[in-house]
Amino acid sequence: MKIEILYKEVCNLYGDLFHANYLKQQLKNFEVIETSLLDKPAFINPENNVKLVYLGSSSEEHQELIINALMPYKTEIKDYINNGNILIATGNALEIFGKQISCNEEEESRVIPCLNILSYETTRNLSHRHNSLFLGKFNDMEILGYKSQFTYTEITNNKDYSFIEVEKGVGLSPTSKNEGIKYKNFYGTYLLGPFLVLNPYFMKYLLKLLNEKDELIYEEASLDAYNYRLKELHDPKTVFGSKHE
Amino acid sequence: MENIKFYFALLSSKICLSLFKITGNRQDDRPGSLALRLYPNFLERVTKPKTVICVTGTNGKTTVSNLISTSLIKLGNKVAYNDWGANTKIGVARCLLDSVSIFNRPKKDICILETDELTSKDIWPYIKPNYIIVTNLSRDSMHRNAHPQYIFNEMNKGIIPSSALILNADDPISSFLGTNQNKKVYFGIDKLSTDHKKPYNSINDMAICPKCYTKLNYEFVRYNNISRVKCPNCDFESLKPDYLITKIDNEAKKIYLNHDKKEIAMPLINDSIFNIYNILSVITCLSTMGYTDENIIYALKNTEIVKSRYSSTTVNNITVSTIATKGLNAVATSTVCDYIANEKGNIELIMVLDDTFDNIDGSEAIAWIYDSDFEFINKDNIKKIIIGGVRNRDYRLRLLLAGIDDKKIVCTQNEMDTYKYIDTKNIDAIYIMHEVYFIKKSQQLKDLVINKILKEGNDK
Repeated sequence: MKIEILYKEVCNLYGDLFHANYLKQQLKNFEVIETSLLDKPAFINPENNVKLVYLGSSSEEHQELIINALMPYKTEIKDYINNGNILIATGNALEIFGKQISCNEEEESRVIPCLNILSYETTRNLSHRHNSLFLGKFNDMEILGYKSQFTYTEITNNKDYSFIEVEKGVGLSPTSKNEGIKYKNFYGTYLLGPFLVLNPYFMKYLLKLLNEKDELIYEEASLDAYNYRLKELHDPKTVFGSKHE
Repeated sequence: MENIKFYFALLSSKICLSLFKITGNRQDDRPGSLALRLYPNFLERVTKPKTVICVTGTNGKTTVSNLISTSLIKLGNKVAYNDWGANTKIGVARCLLDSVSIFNRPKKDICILETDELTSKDIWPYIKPNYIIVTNLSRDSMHRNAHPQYIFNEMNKGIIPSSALILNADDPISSFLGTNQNKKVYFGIDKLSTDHKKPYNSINDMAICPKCYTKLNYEFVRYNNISRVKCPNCDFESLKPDYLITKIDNEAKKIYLNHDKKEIAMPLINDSIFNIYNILSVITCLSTMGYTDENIIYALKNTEIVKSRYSSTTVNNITVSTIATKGLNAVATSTVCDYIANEKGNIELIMVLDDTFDNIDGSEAIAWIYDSDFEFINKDNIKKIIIGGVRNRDYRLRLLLAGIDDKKIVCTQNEMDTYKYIDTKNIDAIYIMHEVYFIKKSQQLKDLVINKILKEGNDK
């Protein structure tokens, strides 16, 4: 069985690169394929038996490179997701699978077409960085993390891609009650952390999806850090709003 | 009318500044804020000294600003300098207030302005610097600075054609700042025996060619993105330094500099590689300004680098050192980890890295610790790591994921309690690695450690 980490050379911002390290430590029985931008991804060929694909945060310029790199395999990616395989996209990587990114920059107003596999659209404003803390719920699991982004995403065509219900903080957009995108086993979230490290129960859920024993490495330490942070986030004094803007 | 408004703003802010100075609040930025509130175009309108030098970059800008200011004063100039760390628009306005009379006539020859990377674009077009020194650009706080490419683009928006740029040729990011219209002077350090052949940090912001996106080849990697690169597929490569250090002689305390086909020995006032870059940027700027080698040697002689970020004391054969790192900055933290990892002997490490400002809202974003190379300190000779602060659980998990044995890790909620857990037997060095705003407390912590050593003795 294999997992595939895409484009480490560019998807390496905001702690997300550590997901590669974490998944390797966590999924010792899996072969890890690291694919670079100029290579053909392995997961697009079902014979390669890739059970999980991970894509992390990148710069805006590199995000376009990733879109261009994946565009030729759009049909295969769609099939991979529709067949119930696991694809995790964190930070701005989730935007790649939507319809488009509209850039509202002062100097440049343009639209970047994305893979258009799922029905959502992103708006980017480089003069406004949103930073906030987050607390939400998915399948009775409390999910936490941070946001640090130039973009907001809106779901289109009334699709239900509900992933994490917002308890405190901001969802996909300031008006959304949901954070992230879930479609079959596609999990996209703006939450940084790194998301899988900071959310041990979600990692356990993922292990179960992969038919693995739901035991974490350093489980006691992971839960200790998670529970303390949860306590902080439940504190009414904790500010979830955007800071450093 | 405009004139009246401007002079009213100037006079009011100068009076305000005098009052602050009399009451011992020289470093208060409010006079600058007042000037900008009363006259929003204050930066553009106020008379600037004949020479304005701006210093920016992710790391080293305060040190470089200090060094260049001291050097230019030694060389007989009247200098205004925002030496209190106020590097945004308000601080710059406050500093410029110091450099003019109430009649808006220049009182100083030169103004040295440390400017923040992100807000430089709101400052440079108005003050029109003659020289801009950029020390380097690397990953910093994700909240504020997002990523180096973003900061690069933001800085480029503010660079005016008449500014001469003093750039680090060994930084393949910041060395490409500016346009063809700018005069550019590059500094660099030749290959060193301590250099690496390929990137060794977990993060690399210069992994692919910015022109054709092919993976880059490296002539050397010094640390993080400080490297000399070449694209195997196109003509992209690191720029050639105009001022190149060819040899560092630590014993003779000299650096040998190649410039204009001649080699000259300059004083080595600090032997850390970061500070050698800082000194080199100052030499390059002074030389570009027209100062002779003799002038520069004179200016740098007996100059010291402010040591607030590092201190060291030896008691009972144990060296106790404080070493600061920048909160939310993975590059700075990895550099400190790398430094400690290369030290010999039995070491204990106290880590107090909570970011005071980010924690204010109730919980700190710690994604950056997963970009930091704590793997470097997974060494046999590092016997114990004591973590202090509310985020101790997060750091413990990070250290475990770095492969560090849980038996070596001690956690405590209160930073000032960390000293209680040090062992004073069979230990050669104790490092207190602290967040940059913890400087005062780190010295108190150091004293507590020293007292414990003195009390318990060292049988080594």
